Amino acid sequence: MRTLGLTLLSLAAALAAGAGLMAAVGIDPVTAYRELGLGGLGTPRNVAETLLRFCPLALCALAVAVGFRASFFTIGVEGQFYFGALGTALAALAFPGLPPLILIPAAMAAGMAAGAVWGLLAGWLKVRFGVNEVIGTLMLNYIAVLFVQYLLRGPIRAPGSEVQFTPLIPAAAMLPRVVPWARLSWGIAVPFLAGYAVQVFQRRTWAGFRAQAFGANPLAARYAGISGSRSVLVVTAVSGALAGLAGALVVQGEFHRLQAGIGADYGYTAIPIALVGQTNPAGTLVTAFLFAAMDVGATMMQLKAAVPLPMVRLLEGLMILFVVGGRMVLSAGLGRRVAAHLRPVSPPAVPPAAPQP
Amino acid sequence: MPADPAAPPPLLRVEALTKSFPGVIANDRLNLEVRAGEVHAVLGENGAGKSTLMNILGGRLAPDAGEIQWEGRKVSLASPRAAAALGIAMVHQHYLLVPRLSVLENVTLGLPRFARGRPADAERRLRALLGQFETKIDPRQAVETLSVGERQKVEIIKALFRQVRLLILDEPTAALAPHEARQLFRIGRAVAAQGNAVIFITHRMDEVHAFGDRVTVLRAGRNVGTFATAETEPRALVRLMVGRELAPRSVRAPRAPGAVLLEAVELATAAGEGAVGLDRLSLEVRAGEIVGIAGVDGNGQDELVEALLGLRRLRAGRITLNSQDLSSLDTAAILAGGLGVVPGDRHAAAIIEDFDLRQNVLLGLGPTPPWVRGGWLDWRRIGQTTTEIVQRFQVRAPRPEDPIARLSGGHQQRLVLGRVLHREPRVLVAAQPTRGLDVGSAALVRERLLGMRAAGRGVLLLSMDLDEVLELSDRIAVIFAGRIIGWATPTTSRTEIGLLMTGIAPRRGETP
Amino acid sequence: MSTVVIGFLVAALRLATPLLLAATGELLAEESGVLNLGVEGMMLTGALSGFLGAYYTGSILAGWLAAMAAGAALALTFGFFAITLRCHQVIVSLGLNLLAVGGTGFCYRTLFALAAHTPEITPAGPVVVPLLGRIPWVGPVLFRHDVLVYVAFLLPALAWYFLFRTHLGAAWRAVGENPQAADSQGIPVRRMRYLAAVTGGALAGLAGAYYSTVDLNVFLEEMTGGAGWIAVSIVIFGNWRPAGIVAAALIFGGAEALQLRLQVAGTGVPREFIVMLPYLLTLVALASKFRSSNSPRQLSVPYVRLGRD
Repeated sequence: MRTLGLTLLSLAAALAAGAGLMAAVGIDPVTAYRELGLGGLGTPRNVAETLLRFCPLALCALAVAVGFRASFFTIGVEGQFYFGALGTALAALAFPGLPPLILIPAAMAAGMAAGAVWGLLAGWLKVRFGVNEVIGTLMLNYIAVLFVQYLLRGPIRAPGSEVQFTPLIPAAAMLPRVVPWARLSWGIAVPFLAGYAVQVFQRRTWAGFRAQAFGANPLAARYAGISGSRSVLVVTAVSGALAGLAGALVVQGEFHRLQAGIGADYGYTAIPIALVGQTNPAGTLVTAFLFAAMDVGATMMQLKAAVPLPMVRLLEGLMILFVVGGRMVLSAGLGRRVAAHLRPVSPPAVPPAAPQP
Repeated sequence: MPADPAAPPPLLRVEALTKSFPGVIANDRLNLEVRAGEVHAVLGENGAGKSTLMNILGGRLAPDAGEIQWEGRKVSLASPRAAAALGIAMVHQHYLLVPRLSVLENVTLGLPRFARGRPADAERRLRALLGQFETKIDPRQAVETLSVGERQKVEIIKALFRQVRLLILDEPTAALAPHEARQLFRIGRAVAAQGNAVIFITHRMDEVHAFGDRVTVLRAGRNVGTFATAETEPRALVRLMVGRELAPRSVRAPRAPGAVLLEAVELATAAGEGAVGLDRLSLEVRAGEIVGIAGVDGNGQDELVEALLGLRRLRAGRITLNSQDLSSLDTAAILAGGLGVVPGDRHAAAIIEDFDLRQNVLLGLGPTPPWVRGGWLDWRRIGQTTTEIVQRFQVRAPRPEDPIARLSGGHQQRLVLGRVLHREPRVLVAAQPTRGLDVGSAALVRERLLGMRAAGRGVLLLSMDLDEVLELSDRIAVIFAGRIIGWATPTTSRTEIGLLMTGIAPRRGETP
Repeated sequence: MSTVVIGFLVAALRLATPLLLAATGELLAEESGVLNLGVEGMMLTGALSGFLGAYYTGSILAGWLAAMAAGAALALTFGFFAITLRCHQVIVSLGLNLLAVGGTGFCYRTLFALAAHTPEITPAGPVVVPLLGRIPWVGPVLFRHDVLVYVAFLLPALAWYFLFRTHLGAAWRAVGENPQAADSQGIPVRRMRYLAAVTGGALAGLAGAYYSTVDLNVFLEEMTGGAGWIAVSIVIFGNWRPAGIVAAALIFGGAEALQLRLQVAGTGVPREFIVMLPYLLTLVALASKFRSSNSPRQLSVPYVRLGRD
């Protein structure tokens, strides 16, 4: 609870700093923030747009969180996202005849599988060769994005089109809209389901426990018979699947095709989100929503309050620094050697039925 | 002993020094006086405040209250640099060397130009010092290529390279063989004889008398007495140290050894960076006995434990437990097969500090029913088992959901022992099981080890404390350079065991 | 044909220059234990600052100094969070990158919002080394470059000498390998890490300025395009040795130069695969080198001194 209050305080401080910056160049911060807020959440249409942006962002952030909890500092979500989008698009295009009830989940599953494979590759490189995951996943990102770029330029480009995108996926693979006047699809349910699934994975399964134990103290885990390799591989597969799922949603629920730039840096923005959210599912989802709202509201802020678009990135950067810095200032007095926001592990409270000594 | 009023002030005087940490007063209005020209022993058991005092003197900790006087002047040791400027040099128990840098670079690290001179001069001085220690170390060698004993020598030489006035040695002989320890004492005496002073921390009585001129006994953060070593005898010092009469060695009922439970045959592992390779090591543990492994640290004890647990690949040899071949199994299977372990380094290898008690217990229980079924965790069961263990081992912890970091070291170890014994292993490998524990916890651990023996199980005890090995073991294996160099019994003389520990088997008729 | 090869080599060197500058700075930072993944942000900030400095004073050199100062300032911020507050260095780096992207974009747009056309500066021209520059073949490739190119390729040698042959360099490395040991010897660990971070930041800033004052003569938002990340990869690929870093930078630069040429020439090999190649090579290098990695042991681990903070 205390960290939550601290987080909110830090976010407020970041906004205040941003306001100061704006005021210094003659922009009225009050108007700016009002437009930012309204732009993100002011009208039902804006909320729908925010939720649309929230979907992939949240899933990517969950992917990061799962990895970080196991001390696998993956920044490869971006690449896994692209592979997931690719897998979904290809699967959907390959089976146009199937009914929606089969094709939608099948395409989604294909995306998850593709992302999981790419994630597993990073995990395998670490386990088998000791490749540092920060750089390893970064390399794999470049490779994935470039590979997809190549495919879009030629082999899978929509015939006769100048633009680098695939043909539209069959209607049977598209996720239905929630309301006709907004782009938001029913895919919005997925991040929440995924969040719940991650929660269950981490708190109630041996695989989740094992991964977190390994992340917290690899040596103790090994002495306890926990296989580090298996932990890492499971985690990277799960993380990759979540990222791939994000890619699937974007293809099936938003663009209905695979095109260049579909990733919009979700994979990278997801990392600070996961950390601000303390790598637990609930915090991660909430933070993702906040950042999504800010992203959507940024356009409004630019339009109505003449605040340059990059300001949002600036605010996001300030938020991360303030939250992270604030947490360390708080925990410094405790003399803990590990950053509090990386490992606040808490299994479910003992149910009241259990007798207490 | 009253000080001569006409004599110069002592080199170091500490008055009413107080330092506390959350929950414990490490130094409690402590007084200490060290004179130039003397070797001053500081004796105390774990938690007596020795390390804290040394860290304060070394400038690494700031005291809460009290005064430090150097040659009669009040000083504030605000940083290691300030302490070094006065001429205080600490040789730490855990060597502070930079592995990838050379010996020369390590020794001259942080020295300003005037103190180290030109590179050629520095190297010459270093070679001279190395010669004094009779080693073959090359100044240009990278420290990571040195053995443990050699690294300690470099640590000491590091201190001597600077114009040291007060040399502080923290458990300096922990990793040394007896003749190396004697070498160290000789050099220490030489340092003192030049008008400097040496403080050394120890818990070994023989060192106090062999090396020290005076001894200060610490207990619970206070100085409970300073004496000339020539005028005191061990029993009195120990009584002050522990505050009560030492109980006589526990009397064990002799047992006829049972069937062989654990057998290691000609184990061989690869020698690595700083790791000794096991070299055709063979031993066996029978039902109802405690086999103790004595030896200077770094002769293969860690590697043996790792090999038994499947954490280190065997190049040759075989390990069987209850006639089951463990050699190709992974750790989880070995643990399930009936081998239990209490790892030597609790913080690094036994517990996860960020977890709570239940999670740490689960760590030891493993993915077996009823705590884990089909991959799902049953927290209620785990909580129940945790409570059981807490009660049976008298762990001072309010609730199972409490973070394990709240427990003291001794109580953490109780939990560790409790969780491993809960699985009722056939053979328990206990590495340094009582190191750093408070007296009560250490006693409980020893008691439970003997309990395993009484229940017909086997215990393999590895301990750096020779007294403990002698007290608990039925048979003693002495490990040296990766093999069992000889066997002994609790009645074998310490000198004989000591010789084995340095790889020397006594010839008949010679007095060691 | 020979002009094509010469052109290719020249381009490779030019493309490698900012990467090498940033990588050398990153190497110095990492050797003292500071893992600075904010190189990208520092380069971008340097690009803008370099451009602005040159734009407002008319002197390219002023621009370069401004770029180094800006990079250093950002690094100082990084140092505050990572060293003093002991936050996780990866996270702080990412936060700073966002800050830099936002900050440079915001700054640029605010300053030039009303500009009629894109603001430009007069770029620095190449400096021809007398005599050597006229050697056939070798001359154009090695001795007719902008000042920064020479600086970029000389700096690693200086870094090598500093790290492995000087007393301060040994202390610097000690801080990255075993800060407890360094501290116990009276070496100011924190101060040294700050210095290392700032050095890395200044060089990254200078590297960024290359883009806006030498390569091009304008500032474009996000113009560094991930170069900072490549610089970090170069340090790893080069196994933390200055010679290796030079080689790695040339490979990355060479791949980029190659793919640009192939784009124009239109051969069968898709250009994405050429660009991909250095990344694959880095992976392969990582996979095979890990056994004898020279990475500083305490890289990215915050230093906690017992009891005093």
